[in-house]
Amino acid sequence: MKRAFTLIELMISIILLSIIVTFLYQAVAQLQRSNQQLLERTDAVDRRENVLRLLYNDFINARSLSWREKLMDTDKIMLQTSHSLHNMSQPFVHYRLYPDNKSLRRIESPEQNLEYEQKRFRFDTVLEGVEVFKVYENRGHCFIHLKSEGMEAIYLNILPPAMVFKSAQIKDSNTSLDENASTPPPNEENQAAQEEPSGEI
Amino acid sequence: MERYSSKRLMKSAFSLIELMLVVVIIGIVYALALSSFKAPEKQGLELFTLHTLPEYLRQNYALSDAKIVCFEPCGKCNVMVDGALLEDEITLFESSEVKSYELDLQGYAVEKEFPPHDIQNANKKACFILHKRPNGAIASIVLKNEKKFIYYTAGYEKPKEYDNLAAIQNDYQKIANEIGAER
Repeated sequence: MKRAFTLIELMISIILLSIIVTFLYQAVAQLQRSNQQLLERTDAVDRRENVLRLLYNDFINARSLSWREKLMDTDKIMLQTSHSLHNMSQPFVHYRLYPDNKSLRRIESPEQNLEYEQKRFRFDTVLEGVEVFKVYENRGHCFIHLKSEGMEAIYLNILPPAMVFKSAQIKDSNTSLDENASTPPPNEENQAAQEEPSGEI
Repeated sequence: MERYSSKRLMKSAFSLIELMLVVVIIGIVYALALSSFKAPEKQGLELFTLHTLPEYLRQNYALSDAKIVCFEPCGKCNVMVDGALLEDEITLFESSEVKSYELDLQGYAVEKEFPPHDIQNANKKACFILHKRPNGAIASIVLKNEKKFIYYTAGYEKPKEYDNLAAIQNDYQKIANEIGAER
Protein backbone atom coordinates (compact mmCIF):
# COMPACT_ATOMS: atom_id res chain seq x y z
CA MET A 1 0.00 0.00 0.00
CA LYS A 2 1.27 3.44 -0.89
CA ARG A 3 1.65 6.10 1.72
CA ALA A 4 -1.02 8.87 1.64
CA PHE A 5 -0.59 12.59 2.48
CA THR A 6 -1.30 13.57 6.02
CA LEU A 7 -3.27 16.65 7.04
CA ILE A 8 -0.09 18.43 8.11
CA GLU A 9 1.57 17.88 4.75
CA LEU A 10 -1.46 19.17 2.88
CA MET A 11 -1.70 22.25 5.08
CA ILE A 12 1.96 23.01 4.54
CA SER A 13 1.56 22.73 0.78
CA ILE A 14 -1.51 24.98 0.82
CA ILE A 15 0.30 27.59 2.91
CA LEU A 16 3.27 27.53 0.52
CA LEU A 17 0.91 27.84 -2.40
CA SER A 18 -0.89 30.81 -0.84
CA ILE A 19 2.41 32.57 -0.18
CA ILE A 20 3.42 32.15 -3.80
CA VAL A 21 0.02 33.40 -4.97
CA THR A 22 0.21 36.51 -2.79
CA PHE A 23 3.58 37.38 -4.31
CA LEU A 24 2.23 36.86 -7.80
CA TYR A 25 -0.80 38.95 -6.96
CA GLN A 26 1.38 41.78 -5.69
CA ALA A 27 3.47 41.67 -8.83
CA VAL A 28 0.41 41.94 -11.05
CA ALA A 29 -1.07 44.73 -8.93
CA GLN A 30 2.20 46.64 -9.12
CA LEU A 31 2.26 46.23 -12.87
CA GLN A 32 -1.24 47.59 -13.23
CA ARG A 33 -0.54 50.52 -10.95
CA SER A 34 2.53 51.52 -12.91
CA ASN A 35 0.58 51.09 -16.12
CA GLN A 36 -2.09 53.45 -14.81
CA GLN A 37 0.53 55.99 -13.77
CA LEU A 38 2.15 55.79 -17.17
CA LEU A 39 -1.19 56.44 -18.82
CA GLU A 40 -1.78 59.47 -16.64
CA ARG A 41 1.68 60.80 -17.39
CA THR A 42 1.37 60.37 -21.14
CA ASP A 43 -2.04 61.98 -20.93
CA ALA A 44 -0.54 65.01 -19.15
CA VAL A 45 2.29 65.23 -21.68
CA ASP A 46 -0.22 65.06 -24.54
CA ARG A 47 -2.32 67.77 -22.95
CA ARG A 48 0.73 70.00 -22.52
CA GLU A 49 1.76 69.41 -26.11
CA ASN A 50 -1.70 70.36 -27.34
CA VAL A 51 -1.81 73.54 -25.29
CA LEU A 52 1.65 74.49 -26.50
CA ARG A 53 0.63 73.94 -30.10
CA LEU A 54 -2.49 76.03 -29.69
CA LEU A 55 -0.71 78.93 -27.97
CA TYR A 56 2.13 78.85 -30.46
CA ASN A 57 -0.17 78.87 -33.49
CA ASP A 58 -2.27 81.68 -32.06
CA PHE A 59 0.64 83.90 -31.11
CA ILE A 60 2.95 83.30 -34.04
CA ASN A 61 0.14 84.36 -36.38
CA ALA A 62 -0.94 87.28 -34.21
CA ARG A 63 -1.30 90.73 -35.71
CA SER A 64 -2.15 92.64 -32.59
CA LEU A 65 -2.21 91.94 -28.89
CA SER A 66 -3.90 93.71 -26.05
CA TRP A 67 -4.65 92.83 -22.49
CA ARG A 68 -6.15 93.87 -19.25
CA GLU A 69 -3.61 93.54 -16.56
CA LYS A 70 -4.45 91.76 -13.36
CA LEU A 71 -8.09 92.39 -12.83
CA MET A 72 -9.18 90.43 -9.79
CA ASP A 73 -6.33 88.04 -10.38
CA THR A 74 -7.56 87.31 -13.85
CA ASP A 75 -5.56 87.81 -16.94
CA LYS A 76 -7.41 88.59 -20.09
CA ILE A 77 -5.65 88.67 -23.39
CA MET A 78 -7.05 89.57 -26.74
CA LEU A 79 -5.25 89.06 -29.99
CA GLN A 80 -6.11 89.21 -33.62
CA THR A 81 -4.63 86.25 -35.39
CA SER A 82 -4.91 84.32 -38.61
CA HIS A 83 -5.09 81.02 -36.76
CA SER A 84 -8.60 79.76 -36.20
CA LEU A 85 -10.11 76.68 -34.65
CA HIS A 86 -13.57 77.50 -35.98
CA ASN A 87 -12.82 78.32 -39.58
CA MET A 88 -13.11 82.08 -39.13
CA SER A 89 -10.88 84.39 -41.09
CA GLN A 90 -8.75 86.77 -39.02
CA PRO A 91 -10.66 86.16 -35.79
CA PHE A 92 -10.23 87.98 -32.53
CA VAL A 93 -9.10 85.49 -29.94
CA HIS A 94 -9.64 86.13 -26.26
CA TYR A 95 -7.87 84.12 -23.59
CA ARG A 96 -9.56 84.30 -20.24
CA LEU A 97 -8.74 82.61 -16.99
CA TYR A 98 -11.78 81.97 -14.84
CA PRO A 99 -10.70 81.92 -11.22
CA ASP A 100 -13.83 80.14 -9.93
CA ASN A 101 -13.18 76.87 -11.68
CA LYS A 102 -9.61 77.65 -12.74
CA SER A 103 -10.36 77.01 -16.37
CA LEU A 104 -8.59 78.78 -19.18
CA ARG A 105 -10.95 79.49 -22.03
CA ARG A 106 -10.23 80.55 -25.55
CA ILE A 107 -12.97 82.57 -27.18
CA GLU A 108 -12.96 83.16 -30.88
CA SER A 109 -15.03 85.89 -32.43
CA PRO A 110 -15.24 87.71 -35.75
CA GLU A 111 -15.61 90.98 -33.84
CA GLN A 112 -13.50 92.62 -31.25
CA ASN A 113 -16.29 92.80 -28.71
CA LEU A 114 -18.03 89.75 -27.39
CA GLU A 115 -21.59 90.90 -27.88
CA TYR A 116 -23.88 89.35 -25.34
CA GLU A 117 -27.06 89.54 -27.41
CA GLN A 118 -25.62 88.49 -30.70
CA LYS A 119 -23.29 85.78 -29.47
CA ARG A 120 -21.22 85.41 -32.56
CA PHE A 121 -18.35 83.85 -30.70
CA ARG A 122 -17.24 80.27 -30.22
CA PHE A 123 -15.35 79.10 -27.17
CA ASP A 124 -13.15 76.22 -26.08
CA THR A 125 -11.77 75.21 -22.74
CA VAL A 126 -8.04 75.08 -23.21
CA LEU A 127 -7.09 73.72 -19.82
CA GLU A 128 -8.57 73.02 -16.40
CA GLY A 129 -6.89 73.58 -13.07
CA VAL A 130 -4.88 76.57 -14.26
CA GLU A 131 -3.04 78.46 -11.55
CA VAL A 132 -1.16 81.08 -13.53
CA PHE A 133 -1.74 82.45 -16.98
CA LYS A 134 0.21 85.55 -17.88
CA VAL A 135 1.34 87.09 -21.12
CA TYR A 136 4.10 89.67 -21.16
CA GLU A 137 5.41 91.69 -24.04
CA ASN A 138 8.84 93.17 -24.52
CA ARG A 139 10.38 94.54 -27.71
CA GLY A 140 8.16 92.49 -29.95
CA HIS A 141 8.55 89.27 -27.98
CA CYS A 142 5.56 87.67 -26.38
CA PHE A 143 6.36 85.74 -23.24
CA ILE A 144 3.71 83.33 -22.01
CA HIS A 145 3.68 81.76 -18.57
CA LEU A 146 1.15 79.03 -17.93
CA LYS A 147 1.07 76.91 -14.81
CA SER A 148 -1.43 74.19 -14.19
CA GLU A 149 -2.01 71.36 -11.73
CA GLY A 150 -0.30 68.13 -12.62
CA MET A 151 1.50 69.61 -15.59
CA GLU A 152 4.97 70.94 -16.13
CA ALA A 153 4.80 74.73 -16.36
CA ILE A 154 4.91 76.30 -19.80
CA TYR A 155 7.27 79.17 -20.56
CA LEU A 156 6.92 80.21 -24.15
CA ASN A 157 8.79 82.98 -25.90
CA ILE A 158 7.39 83.91 -29.29
CA LEU A 159 8.32 86.63 -31.75
CA PRO A 160 5.28 87.12 -33.97
CA PRO A 161 6.49 88.47 -37.31
CA ALA A 162 3.32 90.38 -38.21
CA MET A 163 2.57 91.83 -34.79
CA VAL A 164 1.83 95.51 -34.41
CA PHE A 165 2.59 96.60 -30.89
CA LYS A 166 1.26 100.09 -31.32
CA SER A 167 -2.26 98.79 -30.80
CA ALA A 168 -3.84 99.85 -27.57
CA GLN A 169 -2.89 98.04 -24.42
CA ILE A 170 -6.01 97.71 -22.40
CA LYS A 171 -5.37 98.61 -18.81
CA ASP A 172 -8.70 99.63 -17.40
CA SER A 173 -11.53 97.19 -17.41
CA ASN A 174 -14.44 99.59 -17.90
CA THR A 175 -13.22 101.85 -20.61
CA SER A 176 -10.97 99.37 -22.28
CA LEU A 177 -13.03 97.61 -24.85
CA ASP A 178 -15.15 100.59 -25.86
CA GLU A 179 -12.10 102.73 -26.22
CA ASN A 180 -10.48 100.08 -28.28
CA ALA A 181 -13.54 99.69 -30.41
CA SER A 182 -13.74 103.40 -31.18
CA THR A 183 -10.30 103.38 -32.71
CA PRO A 184 -10.49 101.58 -36.03
CA PRO A 185 -8.81 98.18 -36.14
CA PRO A 186 -5.26 98.71 -37.30
CA ASN A 187 -5.59 96.93 -40.60
CA GLU A 188 -3.48 99.34 -42.57
CA GLU A 189 -0.79 99.27 -39.95
CA ASN A 190 -0.92 95.51 -40.03
CA GLN A 191 -0.43 95.40 -43.72
CA ALA A 192 2.42 97.83 -43.52
CA ALA A 193 4.07 95.76 -40.83
CA GLN A 194 3.60 92.61 -42.82
CA GLU A 195 5.17 94.04 -45.90
CA GLU A 196 8.17 95.31 -44.03
CA PRO A 197 9.84 91.98 -43.22
CA SER A 198 9.05 90.55 -46.64
CA GLY A 199 10.77 93.56 -48.20
CA GLU A 200 13.87 92.85 -46.18
CA ILE A 201 13.97 89.27 -47.35
CA MET B 1 5.04 -2.03 8.54
CA GLU B 2 2.63 -2.19 11.38
CA ARG B 3 2.42 1.63 11.33
CA TYR B 4 1.06 1.80 7.78
CA SER B 5 -1.55 -0.85 8.11
CA SER B 6 -4.48 -0.28 5.81
CA LYS B 7 -6.82 0.46 8.68
CA ARG B 8 -4.65 3.27 9.97
CA LEU B 9 -4.10 4.64 6.49
CA MET B 10 -7.82 4.87 5.78
CA LYS B 11 -8.26 6.83 8.94
CA SER B 12 -5.64 9.54 8.39
CA ALA B 13 -5.57 10.09 4.60
CA PHE B 14 -7.84 12.27 2.36
CA SER B 15 -9.77 10.73 -0.43
CA LEU B 16 -9.44 11.96 -4.00
CA ILE B 17 -12.94 13.49 -3.85
CA GLU B 18 -12.07 15.53 -0.76
CA LEU B 19 -8.88 16.84 -2.31
CA MET B 20 -10.65 17.79 -5.53
CA LEU B 21 -13.30 19.61 -3.53
CA VAL B 22 -10.65 21.62 -1.74
CA VAL B 23 -8.88 22.49 -5.00
CA VAL B 24 -12.17 23.59 -6.58
CA ILE B 25 -13.02 25.82 -3.61
CA ILE B 26 -9.55 27.42 -3.76
CA GLY B 27 -10.04 27.96 -7.49
CA ILE B 28 -13.39 29.69 -6.98
CA VAL B 29 -12.04 31.98 -4.26
CA TYR B 30 -9.05 32.87 -6.41
CA ALA B 31 -11.20 33.59 -9.45
CA LEU B 32 -13.48 35.86 -7.39
CA ALA B 33 -10.52 37.75 -5.95
CA LEU B 34 -8.98 38.21 -9.39
CA SER B 35 -12.17 39.42 -11.05
CA SER B 36 -12.89 41.98 -8.32
CA PHE B 37 -9.43 43.38 -8.82
CA LYS B 38 -9.53 43.53 -12.59
CA ALA B 39 -12.65 45.68 -12.78
CA PRO B 40 -11.27 49.26 -12.67
CA GLU B 41 -8.72 48.95 -15.46
CA LYS B 42 -9.37 49.10 -19.24
CA GLN B 43 -9.57 52.80 -19.69
CA GLY B 44 -7.67 54.87 -22.16
CA LEU B 45 -5.90 51.78 -23.38
CA GLU B 46 -8.17 51.12 -26.28
CA LEU B 47 -6.92 52.83 -29.39
CA PHE B 48 -10.02 53.13 -31.45
CA THR B 49 -13.17 54.13 -29.63
CA LEU B 50 -15.65 56.94 -30.21
CA HIS B 51 -13.86 58.92 -27.50
CA THR B 52 -10.42 58.67 -29.03
CA LEU B 53 -11.30 59.52 -32.64
CA PRO B 54 -9.92 63.10 -32.56
CA GLU B 55 -6.67 61.89 -31.02
CA TYR B 56 -6.48 59.14 -33.60
CA LEU B 57 -6.79 61.64 -36.46
CA ARG B 58 -4.34 64.06 -34.87
CA GLN B 59 -1.70 61.46 -34.25
CA ASN B 60 -1.92 59.61 -37.54
CA TYR B 61 -2.61 62.46 -39.95
CA ALA B 62 -1.00 65.34 -38.10
CA LEU B 63 -0.67 67.91 -40.85
CA SER B 64 -3.35 66.70 -43.27
CA ASP B 65 -6.98 67.48 -43.67
CA ALA B 66 -8.40 64.22 -42.35
CA LYS B 67 -11.96 63.00 -41.92
CA ILE B 68 -13.73 59.98 -40.59
CA VAL B 69 -16.69 59.48 -42.89
CA CYS B 70 -19.54 57.12 -42.12
CA PHE B 71 -21.81 56.41 -45.07
CA GLU B 72 -25.35 55.14 -44.70
CA PRO B 73 -26.20 52.59 -43.42
CA CYS B 74 -23.90 53.71 -40.69
CA GLY B 75 -22.14 50.63 -39.45
CA LYS B 76 -18.79 51.13 -41.10
CA CYS B 77 -16.67 54.18 -41.61
CA ASN B 78 -13.71 55.17 -43.73
CA VAL B 79 -10.86 57.55 -43.22
CA MET B 80 -10.47 60.27 -45.81
CA VAL B 81 -7.13 62.05 -46.05
CA ASP B 82 -6.82 65.21 -48.15
CA GLY B 83 -9.89 64.25 -50.15
CA ALA B 84 -8.84 60.66 -50.86
CA LEU B 85 -10.89 57.88 -49.33
CA LEU B 86 -8.82 55.11 -47.76
CA GLU B 87 -10.07 51.60 -48.37
CA ASP B 88 -9.88 50.10 -44.92
CA GLU B 89 -13.23 50.09 -43.21
CA ILE B 90 -13.59 50.69 -39.52
CA THR B 91 -16.51 49.42 -37.50
CA LEU B 92 -17.52 52.20 -35.13
CA PHE B 93 -21.16 51.57 -34.35
CA GLU B 94 -23.03 48.48 -33.27
CA SER B 95 -26.37 49.73 -34.52
CA SER B 96 -27.12 51.89 -37.53
CA GLU B 97 -29.02 54.40 -35.40
CA VAL B 98 -26.60 57.27 -35.91
CA LYS B 99 -27.33 60.95 -36.21
CA SER B 100 -25.23 64.11 -36.22
CA TYR B 101 -26.08 67.48 -34.76
CA GLU B 102 -24.44 70.85 -34.80
CA LEU B 103 -24.67 73.59 -32.20
CA ASP B 104 -25.58 76.97 -33.67
CA LEU B 105 -24.18 80.21 -32.28
CA GLN B 106 -27.01 80.47 -29.77
CA GLY B 107 -26.18 77.00 -28.50
CA TYR B 108 -29.15 75.16 -30.00
CA ALA B 109 -28.61 71.77 -31.57
CA VAL B 110 -29.58 71.46 -35.22
CA GLU B 111 -29.51 68.23 -37.14
CA LYS B 112 -26.58 68.22 -39.51
CA GLU B 113 -26.87 67.34 -43.17
CA PHE B 114 -23.54 66.86 -44.85
CA PRO B 115 -23.30 68.52 -48.26
CA PRO B 116 -21.84 66.40 -51.09
CA HIS B 117 -18.61 68.38 -51.24
CA ASP B 118 -17.81 67.10 -47.77
CA ILE B 119 -17.75 63.55 -49.04
CA GLN B 120 -17.01 63.93 -52.73
CA ASN B 121 -19.48 61.20 -53.49
CA ALA B 122 -22.90 62.44 -54.45
CA ASN B 123 -24.53 59.03 -54.49
CA LYS B 124 -23.81 58.22 -50.91
CA LYS B 125 -25.19 60.01 -47.91
CA ALA B 126 -23.10 60.32 -44.80
CA CYS B 127 -24.59 60.21 -41.34
CA PHE B 128 -21.46 61.20 -39.47
CA ILE B 129 -18.29 63.02 -40.43
CA LEU B 130 -15.55 63.97 -38.02
CA HIS B 131 -13.38 66.53 -39.72
CA LYS B 132 -9.90 67.44 -38.52
CA ARG B 133 -8.35 70.46 -40.18
CA PRO B 134 -4.61 70.66 -40.86
CA ASN B 135 -4.10 72.85 -37.78
CA GLY B 136 -5.51 70.15 -35.50
CA ALA B 137 -8.92 71.73 -35.00
CA ILE B 138 -12.01 69.54 -35.14
CA ALA B 139 -15.19 70.73 -36.81
CA SER B 140 -17.32 70.59 -33.70
CA ILE B 141 -20.17 68.11 -33.91
CA VAL B 142 -22.53 66.10 -31.74
CA LEU B 143 -22.91 62.42 -32.47
CA LYS B 144 -25.97 60.47 -31.40
CA ASN B 145 -25.48 56.75 -31.10
CA GLU B 146 -27.67 54.36 -29.12
CA LYS B 147 -29.21 57.04 -26.91
CA LYS B 148 -25.82 58.48 -26.06
CA PHE B 149 -24.65 61.86 -27.27
CA ILE B 150 -20.97 62.57 -27.75
CA TYR B 151 -19.92 66.17 -28.17
CA TYR B 152 -16.71 66.73 -30.12
CA THR B 153 -15.40 70.23 -29.53
CA ALA B 154 -13.07 72.16 -31.80
CA GLY B 155 -10.19 72.49 -29.37
CA TYR B 156 -8.16 69.86 -27.62
CA GLU B 157 -10.72 68.93 -25.02
CA LYS B 158 -11.67 65.31 -24.74
CA PRO B 159 -15.07 64.43 -26.22
CA LYS B 160 -17.81 64.56 -23.62
CA GLU B 161 -20.65 62.13 -23.27
CA TYR B 162 -24.20 63.26 -22.52
CA ASP B 163 -27.57 61.58 -22.08
CA ASN B 164 -29.62 64.10 -24.03
CA LEU B 165 -29.30 67.14 -26.25
CA ALA B 166 -30.74 69.48 -23.63
CA ALA B 167 -27.77 68.85 -21.35
CA ILE B 168 -25.33 69.80 -24.11
CA GLN B 169 -27.29 72.95 -24.90
CA ASN B 170 -27.44 73.89 -21.23
CA ASP B 171 -23.71 73.46 -20.78
CA TYR B 172 -22.98 75.51 -23.89
CA GLN B 173 -25.41 78.29 -23.09
CA LYS B 174 -24.26 78.52 -19.50
CA ILE B 175 -20.67 79.20 -20.53
CA ALA B 176 -21.73 81.44 -23.41
CA ASN B 177 -23.81 83.57 -21.03
CA GLU B 178 -20.91 83.72 -18.59
CA ILE B 179 -18.61 84.98 -21.34
CA GLY B 180 -21.17 87.40 -22.76
CA ALA B 181 -22.08 88.81 -19.36
CA GLU B 182 -18.51 89.58 -18.47
CA ARG B 183 -17.50 91.58 -21.52
